Amino acid sequence: MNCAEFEQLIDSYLDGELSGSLRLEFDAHRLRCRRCQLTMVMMESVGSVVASDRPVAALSDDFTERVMETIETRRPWSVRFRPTRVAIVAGAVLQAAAVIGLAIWLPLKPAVEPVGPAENVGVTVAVDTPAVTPDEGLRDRLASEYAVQDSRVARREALFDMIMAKVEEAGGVLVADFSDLPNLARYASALAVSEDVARASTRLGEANPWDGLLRALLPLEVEEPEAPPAAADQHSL
Amino acid sequence: MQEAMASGDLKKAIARAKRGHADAFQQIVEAFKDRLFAFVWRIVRDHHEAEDICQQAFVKAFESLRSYSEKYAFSTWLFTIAYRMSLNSLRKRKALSGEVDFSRMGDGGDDAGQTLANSEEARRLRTCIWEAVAQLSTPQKSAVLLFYREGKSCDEIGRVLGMPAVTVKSHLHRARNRLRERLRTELVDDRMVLEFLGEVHLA
Repeated sequence: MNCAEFEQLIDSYLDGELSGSLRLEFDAHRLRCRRCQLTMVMMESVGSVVASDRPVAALSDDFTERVMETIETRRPWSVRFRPTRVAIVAGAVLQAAAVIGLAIWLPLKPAVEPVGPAENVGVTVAVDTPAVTPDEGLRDRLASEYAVQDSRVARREALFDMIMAKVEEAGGVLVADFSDLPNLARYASALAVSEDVARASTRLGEANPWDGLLRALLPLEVEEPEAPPAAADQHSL
Repeated sequence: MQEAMASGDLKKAIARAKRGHADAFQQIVEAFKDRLFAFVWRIVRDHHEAEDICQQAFVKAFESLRSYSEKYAFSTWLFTIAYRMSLNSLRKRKALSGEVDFSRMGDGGDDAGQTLANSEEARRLRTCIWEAVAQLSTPQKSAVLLFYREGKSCDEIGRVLGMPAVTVKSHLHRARNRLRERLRTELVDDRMVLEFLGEVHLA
């Protein structure tokens, strides 16, 4: 084997692909040729230097931090704030808000609130909000709130019945869709009621149709939701 | 070259990162950042550019993690991303300056902190080798770095460089020939280094 043939086989040798008699020839030439010895050592040095040399430059200390910051800022909202995490946080926030809201609102709400427009016809509406002191526990406050809600629903249903009765009493001309709350006041104003009552009903209805109708049409105190028919006798149109 | 992270740990970290856990990906960044930077730096030969490319490569890797197939080594996939970004960066540089500035690529081994060997002869040899590597074309240089430094096979290098394994082999062959010729030319009059090499060989 001569030097030219040797050099042609260097790659195969470095890749571990030389075997058998060719490898033997290669090694034999390497032993007797100083030039090829140096060539081989040079090439083996290339491998070791490239493999193990540390880079001349080094990464900044805050490299990882910067990468992670970039990743976080570029992540879509839905990934950054996964639904389960959002649900837990939102639940906690809502709970806290509910507790704070109840603690602030309930004790301050008056047991009986005067109704402005109804003063014209001498009507006040009793609101059966229980008096709750801040010292009572959350459970008591929640129970009271539920009771108030139940009472309001019952009262609203009673009012609905009474207004329907009044519509029929007026001649049954109106076929009102009372599910359309904002129109209730308009229907009421079309009934055969005095002008000031109709006006008051319309005005109040814009703010709260049910309360508006109640205060305009029913000059009575509604203390118990279960007793609306008896109360209906006390007003006049 | 071994992964800086145990294979099982890496798989777990990848699986968690795929589910969006940033802390798992942070472990991956820590495990690969130095190797990736060494590779990219040897290609672009600019510290800030190399760091930017590495940062972009990691961000891209995180965002594309779902497309990573565990059939292949994670490092191969990561290096593929970084290599393409490095090529883009070189192209931009070439477009700006007319051609790649090879003067920036010289003197790659002048680090006083190198631990490979501390003798004067060894330092000179190392400097010669890195200068010769820097003169290679980008695919040749990348093939040499991935082969020797990352221990990648020709198939894996082909995936990184986007070419068939046989082309990689050809690049490696040409790279070695160029290195051999250049080193021989550089060292022909350097008796000190030649003697050093002779001593290394005899030892």
